[in-house]
Amino acid sequence: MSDLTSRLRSEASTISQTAGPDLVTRICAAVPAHRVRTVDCLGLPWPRLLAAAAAVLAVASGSIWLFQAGGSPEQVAAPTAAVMRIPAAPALDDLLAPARTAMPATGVPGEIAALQADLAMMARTVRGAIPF
Amino acid sequence: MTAVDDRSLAAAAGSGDAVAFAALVEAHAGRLHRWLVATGTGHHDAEDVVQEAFLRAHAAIDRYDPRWAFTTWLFTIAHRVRRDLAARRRPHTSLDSCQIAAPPAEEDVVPAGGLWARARSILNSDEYRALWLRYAEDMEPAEVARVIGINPIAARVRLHRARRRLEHALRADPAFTTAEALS
Repeated sequence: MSDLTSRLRSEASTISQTAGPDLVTRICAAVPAHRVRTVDCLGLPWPRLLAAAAAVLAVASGSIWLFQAGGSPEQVAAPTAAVMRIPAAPALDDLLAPARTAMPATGVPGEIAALQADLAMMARTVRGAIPF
Repeated sequence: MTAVDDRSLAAAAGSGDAVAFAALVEAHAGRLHRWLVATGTGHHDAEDVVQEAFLRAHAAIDRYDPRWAFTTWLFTIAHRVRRDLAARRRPHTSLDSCQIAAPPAEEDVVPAGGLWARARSILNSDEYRALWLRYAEDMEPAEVARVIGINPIAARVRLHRARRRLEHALRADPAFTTAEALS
């Protein structure tokens, strides 16, 4: 069998190529000069932008819900949990900790102040996730 | 040209290097055309298939998977282009069920009386194509499977059966049981 293999290979090597002399030229001429790329022509990092947009949406919807519900400290933390799951916003809890301790939530004004501090911190974090 | 060269050229072509793509065309158009003609496609149709295969490869070069040889990818595209061409011309006949028709004598690249001509007369089209890819194009069975669109085990079985059928036929043929044929 191995001899059959070697004979098939050796005989195939003697079979000449058959393409016409102008085939290569014809193909190269037919290839468009500027290929239409299927990827984003603007070169924007869409996954990161979508992550940032999702974070903004989470913060906005969380704050609306918080104002409607009348906000406790636990509820203040709830929308930030959604943001913390975004990969581009690491250690967000650590960033928010000083704001929480500096502004203890005593009553509705205190909660609103704490919420404002949280939102400002989150906005900075989200801006940091956008690469331009 | 080695597979590594092909991969680097394909990567360059993917980033818009027209010279790199032209080098790939230069290196492989002839081989591809020979395979098509040897397995039953006429010269002019083969040229059209080669051109269309390269144009499709160029348009989809971003999707080339470098885990496979460039030739495997290219032959796979050409196989599909040829199948589509045959389907357009014979819409009610399965290409796979057809025996390979030998091209007209003036177009035939396989020497008459040789081992490959004998194989073409004995084997069906699926077996002959697989055998050509394995031994004339030196592809691994997994690559053969990818080109013709079957799983690797089926490709191994097809190659084994093709070899066995060819060997039995040659042993039964006095002209091929001579030292020239099988020794």
